[in-house]
Amino acid sequence: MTILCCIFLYPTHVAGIAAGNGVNSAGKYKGIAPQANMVILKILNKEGKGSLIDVLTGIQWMIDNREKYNIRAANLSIGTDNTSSNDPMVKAVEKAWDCGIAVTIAAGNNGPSSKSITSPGISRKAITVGTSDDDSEAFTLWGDNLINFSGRGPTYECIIKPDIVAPGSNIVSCLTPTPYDENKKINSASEKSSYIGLSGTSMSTPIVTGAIALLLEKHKNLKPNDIKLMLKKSCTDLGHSRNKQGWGLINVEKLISQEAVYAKI
Amino acid sequence: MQKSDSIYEIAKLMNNKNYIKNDIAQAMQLAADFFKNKYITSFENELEIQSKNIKNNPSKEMRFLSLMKEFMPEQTHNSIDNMINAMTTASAISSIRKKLEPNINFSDENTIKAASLDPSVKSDGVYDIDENCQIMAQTDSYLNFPVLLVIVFLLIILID
Repeated sequence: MTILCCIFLYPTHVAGIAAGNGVNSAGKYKGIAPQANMVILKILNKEGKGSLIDVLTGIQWMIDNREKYNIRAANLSIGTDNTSSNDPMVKAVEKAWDCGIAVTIAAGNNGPSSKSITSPGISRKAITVGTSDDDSEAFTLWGDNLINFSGRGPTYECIIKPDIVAPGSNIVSCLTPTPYDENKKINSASEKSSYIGLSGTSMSTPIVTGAIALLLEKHKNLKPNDIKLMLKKSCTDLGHSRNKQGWGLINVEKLISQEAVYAKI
Repeated sequence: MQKSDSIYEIAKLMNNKNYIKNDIAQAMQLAADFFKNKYITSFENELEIQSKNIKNNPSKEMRFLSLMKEFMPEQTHNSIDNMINAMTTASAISSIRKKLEPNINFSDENTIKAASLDPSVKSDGVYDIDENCQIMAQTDSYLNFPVLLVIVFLLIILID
């Protein structure tokens, strides 16, 4: 099983949540699917910025190489300002979905207002992931104190989003406090790798991607629509509005233990 | 003696290619007849029944074409009849499909359960629609219509 991560500022952190082996914490901060293989695509620069063409090229690469690397799930912790379903990024994500890759996308941190999820998270096919615990206490995100930050639906086409929520506040995963120095080939301040807590829907998304990896390990023939339906059937209803929680909080144990269900689309 | 008879039969078969050709042709005919009897004939019969029903209760379009025929040049009558027949056949096929749908059994029980019972399964994906949002969107478009009318009206006055 291979997960692909097209990711934002903290690729190591996101990858660690999905499939970290937790070796430097004696297994304490293990990812959701520690045995999964990963392919990491760098589509944004170190400031978290990039062009549309870079992202599209990355998604096309993923589609072209899906059989070679057995890419079955993709994690996109990225977002734009566009809310149109005709956005090329939505089209690209849906092409990947139709090619058999289950794509999970962050709902973004522009909540709590309605219709605050943007492309590619507005794709009706893909699995859009919000944060379940963004209302517990305010925390700092990119220098701002935020609460209820998780993007809310519906989309402008009246599709309920997010599809599912997962924890996203202070998620501890592998990351050094200082950036990687390309010249020295080490982290500039601390050579020892460590674990750091970060918050945002970018952190919730790899929890779902990791769970999908575990599910595919058990049921290898599942297609993306089957996976999405199984996620729905295993969620825990938190009692919030559908456009805040989607179908509910991910329940990994229930997801893995249930029998395979086929959407047959 | 028996052995030499068999050898004779084999040699005879090998020397005459027509035997094989005839046998293959016969086998093909048998297969074609089997498929025709099992699948096509029953469909043809049902199509005939449905076509008769539709001819007895023609649609508005068919009735319109039939009435038009009387007012059209004689050389076009054949084409109009062909059109009516094509419409009859299409309607008959459609009614057969409608009758078949509830009777088709899928092999996987889970598949039926998921596809028929879960409202999130749509033809283009697994998702839910916000009905309140749709109602609001429709209301907005109705509200916008009078505004548009007023704008058009004002534009007409300005142009005059």
